[in-house]
Amino acid sequence: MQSYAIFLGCSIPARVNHYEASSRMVLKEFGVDLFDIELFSCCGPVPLRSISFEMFLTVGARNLALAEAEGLDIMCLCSGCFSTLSDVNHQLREDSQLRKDINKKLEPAGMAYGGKIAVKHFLNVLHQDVGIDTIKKRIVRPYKDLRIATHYGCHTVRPSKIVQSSDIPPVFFDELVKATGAESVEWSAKAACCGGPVLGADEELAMDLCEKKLADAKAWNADFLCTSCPFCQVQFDSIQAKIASDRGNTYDLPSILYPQLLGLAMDMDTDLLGIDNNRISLDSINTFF
Amino acid sequence: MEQAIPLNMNKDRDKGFINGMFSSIQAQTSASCFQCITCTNGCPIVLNYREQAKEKLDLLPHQLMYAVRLGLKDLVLETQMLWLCTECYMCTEYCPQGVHVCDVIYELKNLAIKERKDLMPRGLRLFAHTLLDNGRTAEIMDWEREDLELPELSGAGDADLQELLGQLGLPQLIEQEGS
Repeated sequence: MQSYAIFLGCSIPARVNHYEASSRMVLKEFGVDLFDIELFSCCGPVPLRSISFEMFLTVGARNLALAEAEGLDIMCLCSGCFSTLSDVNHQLREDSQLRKDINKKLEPAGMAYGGKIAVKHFLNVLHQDVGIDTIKKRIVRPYKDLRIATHYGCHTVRPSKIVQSSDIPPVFFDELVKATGAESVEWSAKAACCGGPVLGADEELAMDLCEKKLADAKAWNADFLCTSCPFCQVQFDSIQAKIASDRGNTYDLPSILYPQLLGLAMDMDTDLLGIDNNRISLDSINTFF
Repeated sequence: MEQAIPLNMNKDRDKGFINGMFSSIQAQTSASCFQCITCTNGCPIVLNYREQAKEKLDLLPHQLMYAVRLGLKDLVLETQMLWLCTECYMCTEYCPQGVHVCDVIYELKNLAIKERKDLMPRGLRLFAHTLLDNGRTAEIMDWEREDLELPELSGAGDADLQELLGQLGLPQLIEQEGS
């Protein structure tokens, strides 16, 4: 099985540690080795790119170079980090002059990126390396009559050429959800924006976008949302709770992280999967086994 | 009738802007736009505001692409669409002409911050200061990591990032004019 440098970014250790905990647990079960690189930093996300393309490339290249020096590909849990590092990797691999220019900026730190590694999302590792058949064999408590609104969000699938998402509309996340015995509903907003990226710029707008998705998932009679990104999870968990308290609009639609959904079906320790760390209780999941 | 944006094509057009602003191959694709409006129809922000979209965003994505081609620099840089874009890449994915709309928006924001610091939103300035001060965008929740038996994070990478951003000139770039 493959080995990866696990890339955490900023958002997960600050807000969604249970995503990391549950991901590490399920990947260990499938024999995927994860290595922590102490010097990894913030990926250089959307707001940094908004400020300076050159800084975005340099910060991304620094992280890529660290993994390359260890001879490892990168696996991201956060779709934002995945998008950033995939994009930087794409630009630097395609354009050798640009790579030279950016490497000059890394010279004072004694670093350089040679364009030799791949960047994958956690879901890609499960779908491509582990495979649906292997996952199905490890399900000991399959779900029954559980309707999941699978949420791809934006940056695991777009821009498709850069993140190498081959099917439009995408199917890999639906397949991973179905492997647990759950049903993945055909809701229309599954690959639309959660609103997370504008949370800092305009909270009302972020809440509007979140509500649209909650209403759509509800209209498709989903029991749970399922995410694989800290920003989407914060939107559907903490911001959903805020929408209920501030706006009085309740949707009662808890959001479960994919490795939690999978881990429960594999009968793993609920404390270590961080089931109680979700803001909106996941307890009702127990009625679907 | 909707009010037209008053334009003086002799005065408002900036040819240097058309020729010079795009540093990435992606952003140069704006020249291929044929105004089919696919980008605007797929934009979640436009859809959210519906009939108020023009009032809230100034220029809609397809109008923004056209204004870029016309070289209407001030109009383009002052549009709210730039700062409310979530960079979801819906427009870019479905553009039949291969225009990288999101990447054009990114480059316009870079230009605005370089030349018109007054336009930089407060949230973005706050992000930059947080990154410079802490080397990360949000504080690590150590106690929760301990509960979940996750590895301790040393913060060594954060310090290196702060140094790198200093060398790259982030503090100077976000400094407010006159301060």
